[in-house]
Amino acid sequence: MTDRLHEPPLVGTGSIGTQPGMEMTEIQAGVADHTITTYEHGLEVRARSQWSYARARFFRHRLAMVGIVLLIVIFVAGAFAGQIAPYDPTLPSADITVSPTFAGHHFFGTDQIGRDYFSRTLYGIRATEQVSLLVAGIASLIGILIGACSGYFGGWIDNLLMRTTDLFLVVPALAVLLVAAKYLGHGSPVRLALLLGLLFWTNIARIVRGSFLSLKEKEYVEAAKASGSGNFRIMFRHILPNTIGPIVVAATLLTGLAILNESTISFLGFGLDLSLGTLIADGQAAGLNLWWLVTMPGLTIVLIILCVNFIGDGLRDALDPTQRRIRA
Amino acid sequence: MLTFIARRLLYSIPVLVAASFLIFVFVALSSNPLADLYSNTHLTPADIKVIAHAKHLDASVFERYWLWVQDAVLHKFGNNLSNGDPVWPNLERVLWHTIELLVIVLVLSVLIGVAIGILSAIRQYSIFDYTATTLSFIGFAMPVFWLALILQVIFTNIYLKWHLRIFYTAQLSSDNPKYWLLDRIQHLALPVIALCALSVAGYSRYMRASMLEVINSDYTRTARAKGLPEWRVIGKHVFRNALIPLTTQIAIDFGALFAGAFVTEQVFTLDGMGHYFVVALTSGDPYPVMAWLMVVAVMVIIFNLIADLVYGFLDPRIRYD
Amino acid sequence: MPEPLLSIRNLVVEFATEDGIVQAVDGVTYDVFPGEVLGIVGESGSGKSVSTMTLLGLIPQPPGKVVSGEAIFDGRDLLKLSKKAMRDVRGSEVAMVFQDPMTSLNPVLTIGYQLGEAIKVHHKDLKDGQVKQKVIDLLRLVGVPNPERRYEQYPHEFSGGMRQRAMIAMSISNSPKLLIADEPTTALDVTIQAQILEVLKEAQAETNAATILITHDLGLVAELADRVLVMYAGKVVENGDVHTIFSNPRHPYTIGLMESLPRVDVDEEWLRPIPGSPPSLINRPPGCPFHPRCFLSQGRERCRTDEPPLRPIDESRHKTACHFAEELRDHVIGSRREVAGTST
Repeated sequence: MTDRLHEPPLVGTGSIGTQPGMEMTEIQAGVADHTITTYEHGLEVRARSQWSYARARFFRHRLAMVGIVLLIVIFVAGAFAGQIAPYDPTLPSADITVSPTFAGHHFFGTDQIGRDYFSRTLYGIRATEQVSLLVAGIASLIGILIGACSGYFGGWIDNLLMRTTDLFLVVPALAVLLVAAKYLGHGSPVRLALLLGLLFWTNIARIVRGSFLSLKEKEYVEAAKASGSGNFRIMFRHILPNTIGPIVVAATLLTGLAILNESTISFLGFGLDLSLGTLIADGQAAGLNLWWLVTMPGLTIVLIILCVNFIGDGLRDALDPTQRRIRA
Repeated sequence: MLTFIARRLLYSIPVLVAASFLIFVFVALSSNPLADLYSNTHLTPADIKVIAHAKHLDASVFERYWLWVQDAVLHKFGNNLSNGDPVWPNLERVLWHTIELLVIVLVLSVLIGVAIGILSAIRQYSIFDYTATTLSFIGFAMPVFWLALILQVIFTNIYLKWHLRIFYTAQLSSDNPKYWLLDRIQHLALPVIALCALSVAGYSRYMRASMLEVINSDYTRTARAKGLPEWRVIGKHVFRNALIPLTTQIAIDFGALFAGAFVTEQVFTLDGMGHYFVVALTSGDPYPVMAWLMVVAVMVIIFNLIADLVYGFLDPRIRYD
Repeated sequence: MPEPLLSIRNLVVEFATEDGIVQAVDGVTYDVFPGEVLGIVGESGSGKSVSTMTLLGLIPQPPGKVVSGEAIFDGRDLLKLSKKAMRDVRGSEVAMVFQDPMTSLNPVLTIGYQLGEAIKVHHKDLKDGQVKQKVIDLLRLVGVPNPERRYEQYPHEFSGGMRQRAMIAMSISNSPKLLIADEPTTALDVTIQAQILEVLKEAQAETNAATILITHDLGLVAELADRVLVMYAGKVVENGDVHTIFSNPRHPYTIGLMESLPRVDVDEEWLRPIPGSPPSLINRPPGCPFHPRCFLSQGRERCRTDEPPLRPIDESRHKTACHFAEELRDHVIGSRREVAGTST
């Protein structure tokens, strides 16, 4: 008991080293307790303390805190683009090709027909955040379902998953996305998000599959089986809560990946009508001497993805200490 | 060794067949090459039917797939649907341009990434290490196309303001260059820098991580306990072991690198695979798109084979039998 | 008494961790004499490996740090050697055999290369052919069959026992004056352990090197060692001749260790472990580090407040760090059943 109350070592940012295997099992054991022994007071307290360790580790991760605050500011600004934007994003104004200035609220400047790029960027953020959050949701849902079935039942469904993953390795995702985006998803954030989600679930499925493969052999699963729980109940009440940590980390990093892909597709002209990628493409078309049209929306993307990666980093240290982050 | 290569190539045939079928179903069913014809007021629906029949567009998917496979194997992917030009000559040209770009980027970024990774690992928590970490974080967060564009903006504006030609910001070569090699370098420099920034960020992180793991390993301690000088410990015992996981990672990241080359070519209007694909996709002609996808699939398989051979060369535990 | 080959005085080694400073080795003092085998016994985490690793500068620094102490080897303080001088000592005058032969050999280099390298780095004048011949002779000496063929092979083609033989061959390749064997048989199969023990004995006889044998296996100590050092929580708690220690232990921890061994001569149903677990090395309790687990302490004030020094008892070469060691004079191993009942 005293050992458990010991704070597990805090893992610094970007540092890579071997972690004692203890931590993972401790956390898993803690969560497992939480799921099966809600009636037993003492164990419940211990389980909650495991989550509070994770929370404490996350809040101590300074970059992750900066990231989450900044990201909330950016996303709220995007969500309320209609209220915040000083100008209509589509209407030309008299201020033609103004470089970034605080006068007249053209913080990001205007383009060659006088559209305010700050307002356009806010609307771009809105589209980008819609797509990326949807993608993370859709991909997690598909990935969890397929990964859980694949790891728990094995057999043909597992084979199908692994072969599909092989195929995705051979054909570049970007090309498939472009074809799909051109013919199926053009112009609609929801449809584009569906396409991205349908392509990016494999990573989460692999993580869930791996966890299920090892967890289904655990004693508490045996116990649940022996007490007559059905497969569905075992999978989603007993095993799934123990894989939440890695899933949350993967889903967070997937949000960043979705933003990168969405903006690339939009930049190439097969995506949305107004997103950060489209703004950059418009900026390039307007002429390279209007540097701010390319720079400002791009910096916004960089900032968003930096925040997402920092949060993912912090979450990984907090929830999944055995998996060391080396790449977003 | 040769049998290993032969067997690997044999194994990849079913993967290619499956991939080709899925590619065909996916592209043929999602695209509609007749769309343009319907908007043409000079053509009646009956005319379009005749055209569709002539191109076998009214046949079943399986029939069309079989015809396409025959075309692909016997006639090098056949002809375009839109203008009847043969697909292969153009595709072959852009393929070599992209390979040129990819090889340069791979060689440079592996060299730079490995060097940075080693330095970061042996000077862990130094200013150099922190700088490299910070830069790689920023590198991960930058969309490649945007970095390429920023480089383009900077060097275009330098040229516009001071008429100084350091690097070209578009195309693969000038019309009649005086010095061909210099001209090529001036054209390729910016795309290479943009792509290397992305790869170096990744490779240096992996190299650092795997160096640190090996440096803390038991056999590195053994090497030190022998009395070897530190440069020998790093150079002979750590370096080669650390390269093994990096090789795997480079193979996995090849897709990302290719996607990066794709958009970079588009930004700098290089006559490569990415540019070709965007043009083909915009024209709505499915045949060059499918041919492109197949060529890339083969390319990925060959690249993975090379990575496996390098892996086996580095790690004696892997045997080719 | 002859001059000691190695004398360690007041060695203190700390590790910085996220939880605080861990004092892995806390004021350790001992001597090693030429040609003898010194067994160091203790639980994992008692500082027995760290104290010897420090001699060759093999603990990672940071997080490790030698706070104080000296280690005089052949007239020089090993802890103050320059990097270059330390490299000349490593593998040539002081050599090590590590615990896990599966991970202690480099997987991408041949056994022959790794052994040859150990020789060449200290004998730059030798020709490649001579080095190869010496490696093959060494492999034959430690009982690797078919050494000419084995020379070309990689570690993964060797079994665990064969790898440990190769490690031993490597350690004696430059006829060191001091051989440090850190749990040399722990990672091996029981049937192989006996063979490796024989090889170690032979190697020791061949080179007549003084040997420090680190282990938690009392049987191994009884078999090989001349003198024994018992460590607990980073401190030496008892030290003396192997016969004295085994027949007449004067520290409750040593007695606990011996009584926890399964015995074949007495009909017993249970093993008798030492109750409790080793103390945290971050917040050391005051007093004797063993007192919470000690059957002698029994709540005595002195054990909780005063740290017992290492003092001679019975004879000058037998030392113990227990306030009440005299009470153990007539203690018979295994007789503690009734007494022990109260402390568990």
